[in-house]
Amino acid sequence: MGTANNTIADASNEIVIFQVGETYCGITIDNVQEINKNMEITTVYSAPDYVRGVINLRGQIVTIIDMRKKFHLQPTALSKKMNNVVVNSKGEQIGLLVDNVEDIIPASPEEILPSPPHMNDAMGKYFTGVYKLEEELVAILDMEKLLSKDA
Amino acid sequence: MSEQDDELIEIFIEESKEHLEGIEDNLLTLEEQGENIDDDLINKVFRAIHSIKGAAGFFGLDATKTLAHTTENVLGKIRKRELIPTKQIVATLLQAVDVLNSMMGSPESMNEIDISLPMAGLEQILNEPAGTQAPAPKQSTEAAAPSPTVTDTAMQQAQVSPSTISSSETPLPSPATTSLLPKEKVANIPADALDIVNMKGEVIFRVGKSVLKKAIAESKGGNYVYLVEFSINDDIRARDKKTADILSELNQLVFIVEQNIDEAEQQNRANGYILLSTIMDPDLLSTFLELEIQKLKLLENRTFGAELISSAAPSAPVLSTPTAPMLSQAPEPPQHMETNEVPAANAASAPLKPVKSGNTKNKSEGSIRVNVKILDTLMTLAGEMVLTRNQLLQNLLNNDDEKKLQRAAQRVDTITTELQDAIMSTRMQSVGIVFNKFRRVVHDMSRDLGKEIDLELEGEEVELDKTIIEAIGDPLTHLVRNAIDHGIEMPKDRAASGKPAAGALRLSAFHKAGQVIIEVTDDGKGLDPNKIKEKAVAMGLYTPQELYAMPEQSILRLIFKPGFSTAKEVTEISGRGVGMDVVSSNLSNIGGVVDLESELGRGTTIRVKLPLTLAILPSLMVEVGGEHFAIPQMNLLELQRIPAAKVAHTIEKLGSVNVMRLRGELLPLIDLRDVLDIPKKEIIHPSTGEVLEDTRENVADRRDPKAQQKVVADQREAGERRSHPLSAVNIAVVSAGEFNYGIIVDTLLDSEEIVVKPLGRHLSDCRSYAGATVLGNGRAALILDVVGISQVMELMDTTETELRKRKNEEQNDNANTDRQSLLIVENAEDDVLAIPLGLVERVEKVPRYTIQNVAGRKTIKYRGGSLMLFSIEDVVQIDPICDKSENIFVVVSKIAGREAGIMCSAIVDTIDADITIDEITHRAPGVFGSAIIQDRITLLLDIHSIVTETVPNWIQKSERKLKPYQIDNIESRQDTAAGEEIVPQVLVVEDSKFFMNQIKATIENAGFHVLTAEDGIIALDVLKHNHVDLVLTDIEMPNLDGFGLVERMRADSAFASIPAIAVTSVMGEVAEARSREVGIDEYLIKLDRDQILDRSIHFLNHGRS
Repeated sequence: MGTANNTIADASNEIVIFQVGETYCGITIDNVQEINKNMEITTVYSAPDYVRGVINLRGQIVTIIDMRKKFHLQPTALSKKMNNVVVNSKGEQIGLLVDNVEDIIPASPEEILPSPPHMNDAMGKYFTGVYKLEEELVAILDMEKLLSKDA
Repeated sequence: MSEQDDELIEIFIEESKEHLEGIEDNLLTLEEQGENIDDDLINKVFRAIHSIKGAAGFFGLDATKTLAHTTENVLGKIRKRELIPTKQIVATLLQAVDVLNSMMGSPESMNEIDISLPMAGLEQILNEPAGTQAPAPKQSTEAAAPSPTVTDTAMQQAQVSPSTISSSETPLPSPATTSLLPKEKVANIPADALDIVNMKGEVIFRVGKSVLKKAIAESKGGNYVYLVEFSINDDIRARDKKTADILSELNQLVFIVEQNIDEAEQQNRANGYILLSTIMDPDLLSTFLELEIQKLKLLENRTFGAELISSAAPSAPVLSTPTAPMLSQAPEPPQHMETNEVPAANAASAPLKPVKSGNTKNKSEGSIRVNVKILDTLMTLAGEMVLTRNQLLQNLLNNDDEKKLQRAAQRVDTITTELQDAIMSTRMQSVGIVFNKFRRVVHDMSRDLGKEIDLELEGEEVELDKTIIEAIGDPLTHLVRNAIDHGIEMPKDRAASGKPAAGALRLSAFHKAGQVIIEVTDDGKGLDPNKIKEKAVAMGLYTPQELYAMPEQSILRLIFKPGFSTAKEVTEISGRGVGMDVVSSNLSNIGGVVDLESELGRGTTIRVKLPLTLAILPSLMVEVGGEHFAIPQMNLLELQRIPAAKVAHTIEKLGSVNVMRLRGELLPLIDLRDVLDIPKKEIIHPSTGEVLEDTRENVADRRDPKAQQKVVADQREAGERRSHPLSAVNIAVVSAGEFNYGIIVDTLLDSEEIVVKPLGRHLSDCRSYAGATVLGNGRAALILDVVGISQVMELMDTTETELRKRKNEEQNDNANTDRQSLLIVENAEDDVLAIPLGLVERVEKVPRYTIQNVAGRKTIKYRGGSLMLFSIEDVVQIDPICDKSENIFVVVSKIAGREAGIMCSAIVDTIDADITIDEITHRAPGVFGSAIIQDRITLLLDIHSIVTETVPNWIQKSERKLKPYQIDNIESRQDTAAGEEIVPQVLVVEDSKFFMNQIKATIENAGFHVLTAEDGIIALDVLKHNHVDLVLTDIEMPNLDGFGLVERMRADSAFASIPAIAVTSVMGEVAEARSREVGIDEYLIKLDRDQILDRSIHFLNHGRS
């Protein structure tokens, strides 16, 4: 158990940074299972609009959430730069379709600042904190909120 | 650590559940057998409870152990014939089993479950005076009252151990008789030594108290100290064991204080002994050692407990316990390994620590027992798979030729299939698991209801996927309860109807066409269609007219409608607010389909069709909007491809729903695009190959009322794009349980076996999908949920209302449906016409050149005379007869007593069908009306008028009988004053407005007065209130048909003498014979006015002959 805790702590110190529209978002790496470019997305008609579709991830059916839609941005056609950030949430694998995965950087929890209180718009409500890169601000996402069904 | 414990407990629970399952059955059989107790059976039950008790003790599950123990005591008495398993005793035992069962159901709170009720019952049985039972020894009563709060488990165990109740004629061996056996050992015995005595009172070991105390303190030890006797021959040699193995095995689990088994073996002594301390209670230990419990001697721990150790002389009988485990005459059942294997098997590898049930978490998602053979197969296959993979990799590395690769790939294919089968088979369970539950259900219910029921189970070995087995329990229980409660009658009622007093209830399972069918059959009173009808009317589901037209099977199926129950009273047994609709929908959730057969007074059979497994789904793949979808084969009925040219007259709009006529039935259609909101179809232009957006509205767009008119136009447009395949409509006809509908898709693809994968939580609200699968190309595809889609589209409600509306319209409109025998002919090419078959005498094929034109009239020589020919186009506005062929066909018909020939170019068909006659649109001289027959608008010819229009004096020549009437039997009319002009009254009974009008006109034209009635019941009413001289009646009518009407007339003296003519469109000797039977005077064909008039006049003149 002890060792397991350490690894988790270590992992929490890394953040996967990706871009959705103009916004830089980050999630702690322990949420992330893999990042892929599987764009063989099967459209699921009559699904919630933020669901881009489903993919076959080694035999598992994974729901792909279009982050642009989630942030109320205009969805774009699939491109080579796009990535699926597959996260594990409540025992289910869910893919976040993002415009571009920027980097994976080490970041200690102290460096993550609370997000400004006024951010409560379509995007802002999913932010749990802010991390300052040299040039950009990275919004740290609240996975629970982001992946809840009604949000 | 604790996880291993949890695992152990899980296994214990699993095992216990299995034991309990069997027990119920066996107990019921025991009850049946009564005094003739089957030893094997009672032993089986005993052992089952026994091992539960043992394991429960092991885990420190006191409540469970106590209950199991007391149950075991009662069973012990039965086994010794001291008790007879009466109904009441068995009921108490079952109650105990139930509580044990519920304990196994909630492992976390096992100790909290209240056992007082079954305990009280059991104890009462145990305490019952011997008078009512076989003589019971006193000890059993003492033993029967263990308090669950006793903490000294060792003591309790010892006192209540089943062996204590063993017959007690032989007193305990007196300690005084003890003798020392191994004298050579005496020398180095410490001062505080205790003599360890065997069952016969022989001293085996002499051990220091401190040694024993240490043994108890030892971590592997416990508070039990045993002297275990091994028979060197039976327990060691016969079992192919080595003493060293036994000892090393034991060493892992117990603390061995002293032993002499190796010594005994070497010296060829009969018995060897081991003195050990352990936490295992006697039952568990005996199981673990595979030794009869008599061979264990539990040493009382207080003997060597610090405070309690007295200064007893070393020779004192310290070892005698209240137990007499060694009394060999006790008929202890052999403690077979199989009954107790769990604790034993696991004890070897698992740390032995009593686990408080409170700590136990039911973490696992359930486990399953798998046949070792299957596991072996799996291993072999996995091995093969590895080999083939290596081969493949090798081939790829070496750049081997395609052939080699192909071979390897084929191999992978075969192995995969085999692997799949093998893995599937691990999930298969026999239906017996479910079936056997019903013995109890039947037993309890028949007792509660006072009914006698013989339950017959068949096909228990049939296997189904675990998930399905689990899901069918409740629906089947409901069906069984229904059968017993509503189906099977009380014994006296059964006797009254000549049935055996005991009702027969049969559950059978069998394979059929890749599915498993389960039938629940009873020989009870059956379903009464009339009651169902009444109920349907009372519930406002249907009108009596609608029900009249409904086939009996459909009426019976009404019981699957929500809220339907035909039982007069809601009983406690089956009236639980769940009806057959719930059964049906529960079963359809797992892909099952329910159907039923029932015969009033004879019984009912409910048939459930189930898929073998849910994991692999044979499906039809379809394509819409570029995506592939799977439709489960289970739901699929047939595929229809409607060519573009036929779309217009096959698919029609009915209110808000599109429907299609499929073999006379209206089938609601939905477009998958509408269901799933898939953007409009693109059409590849037939000539340019351009991709265009389809400009027509979706064929089944039911949400846009404005689109409705357009649909018709669009369909015409579709019709113009004749023969272009892209505008044809592909329909998958599916069954959603209670009703069928068609799904319109872009393309129908192949059948595939797909593996069902669940959808994520964000998609769980999409009711149109049953899951997803992975296609051969690696893409994900969605599986359609046929029932879900029908709900999304509210198909059932909409369609039902629409269909009903339509039916009413049809009934109220001039158009009407009636069964007709028609001859379909062609005149101009592709121009179809229909002639009532009843009017056709013969059809002749005539070479064109034989037709003679005589004085402007066409005739042929015919049967020694001449036959006048009539051209349809002379009267009816249609294209002239096709003159391409050398021959023409002549339909010979008798008009007003003379034969006339109607010319046509071809005979297409004769049909016997329900058709809807529209008598307005095409009404014209020579035409009765039109109808859609076999998808084509067909004119219904009025031959009579074709003839009379062409040759106006045709009738006058032949028909003199139609002159003014002299009614001969005027005296029969009392309501007319003498001298008054008498107009005969004819009652026309006919449900079809079309024919009613036809006949009415014919009769009125002849100068008679016509009364009308729509069915037999109304006709009887008219008869009661009016004078009627003649009845003309249709045969097929709602409520009371023509046969019934005349039958009743004949039975009533007031109407018995009124002549009755059947006027029908159905030909057939059977019907004719039946009509004579009931007293119909003449059987005529509708639309043959001459004949009708002729015979009417005849009967009006002469009355019934």
